[in-house]
Amino acid sequence: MTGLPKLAVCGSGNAGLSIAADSAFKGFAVRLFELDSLNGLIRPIQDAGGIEVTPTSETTSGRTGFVALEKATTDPEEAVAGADVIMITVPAMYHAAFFDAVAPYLCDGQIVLFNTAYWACLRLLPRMRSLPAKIILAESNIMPYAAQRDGGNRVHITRYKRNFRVAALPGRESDHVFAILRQVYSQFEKVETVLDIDVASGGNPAMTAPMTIPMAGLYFDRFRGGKLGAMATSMGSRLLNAYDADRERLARLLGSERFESQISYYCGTYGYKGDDMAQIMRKSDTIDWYATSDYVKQLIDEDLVYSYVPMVRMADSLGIDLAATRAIVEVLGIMLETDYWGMGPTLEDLGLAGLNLTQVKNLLMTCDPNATS
Amino acid sequence: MTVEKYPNVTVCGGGSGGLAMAADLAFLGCRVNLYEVPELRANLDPIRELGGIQLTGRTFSGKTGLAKLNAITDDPVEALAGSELIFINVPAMAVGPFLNHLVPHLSPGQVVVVTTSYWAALRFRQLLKDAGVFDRFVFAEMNIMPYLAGKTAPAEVEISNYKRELHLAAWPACGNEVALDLVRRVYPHTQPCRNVIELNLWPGNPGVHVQVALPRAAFFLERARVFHFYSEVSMCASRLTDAHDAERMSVAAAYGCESITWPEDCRRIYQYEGKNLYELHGSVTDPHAEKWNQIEEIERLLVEDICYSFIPMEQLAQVAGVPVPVTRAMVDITGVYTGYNYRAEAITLEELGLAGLNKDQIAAFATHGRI
Repeated sequence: MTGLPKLAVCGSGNAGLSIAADSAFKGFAVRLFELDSLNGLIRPIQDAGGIEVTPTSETTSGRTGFVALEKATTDPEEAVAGADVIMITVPAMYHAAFFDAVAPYLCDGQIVLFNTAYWACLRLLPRMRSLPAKIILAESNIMPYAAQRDGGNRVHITRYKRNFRVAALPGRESDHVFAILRQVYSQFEKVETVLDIDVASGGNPAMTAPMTIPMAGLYFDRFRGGKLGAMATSMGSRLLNAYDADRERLARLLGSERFESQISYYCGTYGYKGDDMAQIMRKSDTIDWYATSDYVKQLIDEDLVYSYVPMVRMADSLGIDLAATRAIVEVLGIMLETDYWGMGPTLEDLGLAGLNLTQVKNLLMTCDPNATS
Repeated sequence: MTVEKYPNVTVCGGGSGGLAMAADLAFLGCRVNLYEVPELRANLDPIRELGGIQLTGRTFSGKTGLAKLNAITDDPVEALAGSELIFINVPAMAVGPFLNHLVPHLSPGQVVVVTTSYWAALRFRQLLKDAGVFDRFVFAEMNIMPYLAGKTAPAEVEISNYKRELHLAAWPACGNEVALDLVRRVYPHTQPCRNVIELNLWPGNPGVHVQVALPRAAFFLERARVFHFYSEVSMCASRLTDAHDAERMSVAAAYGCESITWPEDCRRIYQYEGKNLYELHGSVTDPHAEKWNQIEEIERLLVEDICYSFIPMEQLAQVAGVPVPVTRAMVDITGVYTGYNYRAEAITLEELGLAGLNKDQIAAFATHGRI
């Protein structure tokens, strides 16, 4: 690789457009990819030949306005050809669809980064293994931006995150992946394994599930929605802390030294201050952001299905009970009439069935549970 | 014992439930002694000053006004003298002190009914055995206090609704018939349960306080402090109620007991209309919704429901191999909310004399008082 890494940004939603535009401003060759079935999302960018970033946006490049992209395409082969990093910037439920679209065209040495964690690497490990190409999977704990696109080619970036983490699967490639990705975002911090991301890091899953439960009777039937910031409560903060304590126990068991509470994550990445999440959110600049109950449920669905459920299952298999996390899944499942246990990945899906702690650690570092170190 | 239309009654407890019962039964025609433990004798002073209890609302007797009592006392001997039926109307955690005062002075043939269930019989089985519960008097539990009532002044109580159906089980169950005959002379709408397991897994106590509070905890426990609890019933609470009902009824079935859902019980005992908790308490005729509650009362009810019912039910479920994940989750989440260690404070199978027994032995002990 010479010069800046070449990027393929998969997904033309809020995050995809922000990443593509800000990276293009910084001089990266960027190709934007969207599934053909969602081509309506990418057509305005194709028509305009690039993305319009609103003048009041906060970007890492310091630039706003129009930026041209090398390509905006629904052809996966064209999108990933020659790319060093393929970023999957979509919600967890679309991870597999995007991966499957580009997989046949991947080449040796390419890095596929999932920007929103949600156990993506472990979930997609079986697919990676079946590929002829030797690629590297990677995960970050959070999207680099809080942003909102419109129906055309415009995106408004509220802010960029001050720090986020990355790790590779296999973990022995984390240094290599970090060396490349830090050229794209200097905020990247390297951690050892993807479970340092999925279990030990703040970010995704968000605080929505625990913060919503003590107000569920309002969000989900009286008001049909609410302001997650303004309606943050001490009771919700306590549930969040209990969930964090569960996370910390599992992270310690896995030998992770990178545990980060949601509070320290929010304070670090947004510059907020406060002793608990209610204080933090009530002073945050998103205090007036209103979410419909359907949207709040989408956020909860993603968090529970792709993070809480695998975490509880993994902990169970390693002999510890994450009571608060399990309870959050259980009561939200009843209150929202959703079978989260049925929707979430099983230990088999994650390749963790029957593995002991040593084998799990081996899997994380080498992709082979029975590797001898 | 003289056979009269109405039995002589001792009503224990100077709270709203006790006052409502004492006044309403006095209007019904019973000779009523009101008893309060010496530690709380101050509760009785305003009643003595007024010369009785001022009763308003939807009474079972159909009467309201100043109800005159035969005795107002903190002396257990005076309270029990000449009574055939003794009702104890106090929270789960207060039953022990009352029994300690009363049991040594009970006479053969007297029937004691704890109206708040919460496993009172098995919790105090040794005290009762020593006093001769098997052959000298009858001890029974009722699933719920007969009145929905609140004090409007220290000697005034308002009954917003009375229960149209009550359930009762004696321990051991051979006392059912005697207890039922006597209780039905004041509350003819009383039905028997086969044993104290069926009774404790019947709707009533535990209430739905956990289910209602969980999705509105930020309001009840953090913001409001005084509120109309039942006006806040949400569809989320309604679904939690249905899920808990399903688990409770599975545990009951595993012990050979029958049960019904909470909404079904609500329709029967309050005559509210609706297919679920949300609709039942959303009806404009629901007096529950008009009742003011304070945070301290709800916190106490959460302790009662969880420590004296949810957790022992979990333990019985475990013995019977019945999964109760929603009940368990509600206990865990409420514990995080309040910071109260319900699991450490809960009654255990050991305290109920059921530890180490299998399902059939537990059922036998609940029915016969022995395995």
